[in-house]
Amino acid sequence: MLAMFLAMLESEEDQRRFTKLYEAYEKKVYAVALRILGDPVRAEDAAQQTWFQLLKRWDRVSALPWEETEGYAVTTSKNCALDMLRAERRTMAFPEDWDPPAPEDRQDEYDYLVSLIRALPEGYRRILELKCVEEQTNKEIARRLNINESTVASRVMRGRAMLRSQLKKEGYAYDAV
Amino acid sequence: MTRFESSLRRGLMDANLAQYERVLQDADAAQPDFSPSYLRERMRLLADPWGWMRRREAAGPRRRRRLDWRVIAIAAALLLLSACAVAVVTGQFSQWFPTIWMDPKAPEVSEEIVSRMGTVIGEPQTVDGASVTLNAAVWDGQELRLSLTADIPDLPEDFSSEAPFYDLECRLRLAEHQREAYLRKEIALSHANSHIDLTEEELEELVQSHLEYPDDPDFHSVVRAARQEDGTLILQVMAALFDYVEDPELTLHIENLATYKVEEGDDGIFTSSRAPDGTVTTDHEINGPFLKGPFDFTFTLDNKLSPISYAGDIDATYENIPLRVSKITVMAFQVCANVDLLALLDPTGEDPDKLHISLEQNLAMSLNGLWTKDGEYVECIGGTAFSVEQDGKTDGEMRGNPVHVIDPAQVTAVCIGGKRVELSELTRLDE
Repeated sequence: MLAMFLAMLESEEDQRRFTKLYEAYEKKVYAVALRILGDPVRAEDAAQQTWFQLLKRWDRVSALPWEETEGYAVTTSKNCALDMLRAERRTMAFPEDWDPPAPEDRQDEYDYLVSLIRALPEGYRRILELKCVEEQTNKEIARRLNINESTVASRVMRGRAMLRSQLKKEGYAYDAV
Repeated sequence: MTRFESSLRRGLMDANLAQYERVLQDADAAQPDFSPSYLRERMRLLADPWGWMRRREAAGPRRRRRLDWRVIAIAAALLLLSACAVAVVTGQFSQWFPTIWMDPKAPEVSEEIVSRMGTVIGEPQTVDGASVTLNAAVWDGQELRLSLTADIPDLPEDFSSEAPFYDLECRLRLAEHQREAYLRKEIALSHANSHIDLTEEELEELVQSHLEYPDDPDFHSVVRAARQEDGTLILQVMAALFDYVEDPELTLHIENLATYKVEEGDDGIFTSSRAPDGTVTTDHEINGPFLKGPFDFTFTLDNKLSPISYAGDIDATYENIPLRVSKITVMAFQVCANVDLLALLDPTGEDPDKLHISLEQNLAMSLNGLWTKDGEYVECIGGTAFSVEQDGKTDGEMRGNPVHVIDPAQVTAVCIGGKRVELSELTRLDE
C-alpha cells in the first residue's frame, strides 16, 4: 500500500511539471508540426504524438534543464511530423550532397557547428537527432525509419565525421576533432 | 560525453530552434483554431497525463513505463521516518538508526540483525564550529543507510527537523576505481530487465559516456533528520546502493544542508534536480543553510546482510488474475518477487477482451507478508508494478517492506496474494 501510495505522489509532482511544460510549448509544438505537415488536422495528431513521446520519455525529459526543454520539444515535434509524412509515403527523398557553409567572420565554434548542422543532409541530421537528442538505440531508429540497423550505425558515424572534419578544416579546435 | 558530443546534442536542438525561429516567434501570439476532438484530448491529457499515455499506448504495441522501485523504496524509507517516534531503543545501532523499524516483541533480535549488516565508522569532522560525526552504515545489498550526529551551535531558532530538506548539496560518490565496474553492471542489468538488447559496443559506449559524469552512478541519496535535541541532530542518509562491487568505498560529501521554505497551501512535494551540466532547478524557495560544510567522509562498507534469491516456477493465480512467480529475493528491508502475468493486460479497463487489474486487486495479490523459522508472520507493505512488452508479454515486480527488519536467512515462506509460498520448494541461487 505504501509503495503504491508513493508512486501516486510521484505522479502528482510529475503531473505539475508536465503541465508547466505543456502550457509553455503547446502552441510551439503544434506550429512546428503544422509547418511540416501543412494540414491542421494532421498537425494536431503530430502534436498529440509529441506529447505522448515526451510522457514516455518523462524520466529523461524531467531531468533536462529548463532552457533545453524547448529545443527538445521542438525536435520531438519535428520528428513526429516527419514520421507521419513517412507513414503516408509523402516524404521526399532527402538530398545526400553536403555543401557546408563557410564560417562567418568571428563566428565562434558552437555557432559554426549549429550552422553546419542546419546544412547537413536531412538523412544524417534526423538520425543524429534521434540518436543524440532522443537517445534512441540504433535498433529503435532502424525500426522507426524502416532502414537497416547497419545503415543507422554508419550514418551516425558518418554524420559525426562530416561535422568534425569540416570543423577541423576551418580550424576549430573541438577536442579530438 | 566529450565536449564535441555535448555540443552536438545541444547544437542539434538549437539548429531546429533556429530553423523554426519565425514559426516559434509567431506561435505564442497565434490562436490556433483547434478542433473539438483535439480540445477533448487536451482536457483528458492534462487531467491525467499518464493515464492518457497508457490509453494511447494500449492502442499500439509499445513499451509501458516501468516504475522506478529504487526511488520508491527510498521514498518509502522517508515516510517511515515520520512513523518512528516509538522506535525501540536497545543498543547502539538502534540509537544511531531510529528510522529502522525494530521488532517491538524482540528488539534485541532486530539490534543483532542490524549490527551484522552494519559498519561502525565513528569519524568526526568540524567546520566553523559545527561538528558532524558519521556514526555508522547499514546495508542490505540494495539499500544503504548512514547515520550522522551533527552538533550545530548556531542552529537557527526557527529550524524545524520536520521541514523538508534541500539535500542536493549532499552527494554520495563511489571510489573512482570502482565506478566503471559498478556502472557496467548497472547498465547491463537495467537493459536486460527492460528486455533491451545491447551489443558489447553499445554497452561500452554507454559506460564510457556515464563515466564522464563524476556523479554517476547516481545513488538517489536523500538526507533527513531523524531526531533533534536542541542543537544536536541525528541525520539519516538513504541511498539505493546495489552490491555490484565488493567492499564499496564511498565518500559522503556534504557541502551544505538547508530546508525548503514551507508556505501555507504547499502540497508537501518539494523537489530539486541537477542536470548533467550541474544546473540545479528547484520548485520551492530554500532557506539559508543550517549546516555549512564542506564535510567529506570516506569509508568502506565492510558488512552487509546479503540478499538471498530463489528461482522457480510458482503458480500465484489470484482470483481471475493468472500469475507465475519466477524469482523471489529476500533482503533485510524488503522482499521482492518477479512475476509473469499470463494474460493480456488492459491498463485502462476499457477493453473487455483483456484483463484489467484494479488498485485493490493489485494490493491484495501482492507480496503482503513472510514467515520466519520460528513461525512468526511478518506483515509486508507494498504493491506490484507491471510492464507490457512489445510482444504483449507482461511481466512485473512485487515489492514488500516488512514492518520490521528481518534476517533473510530466517525467512522460510512468503505470502503472495494470501497464498503461502514455501521457499524450500524453490532453488536457492547462491548455493
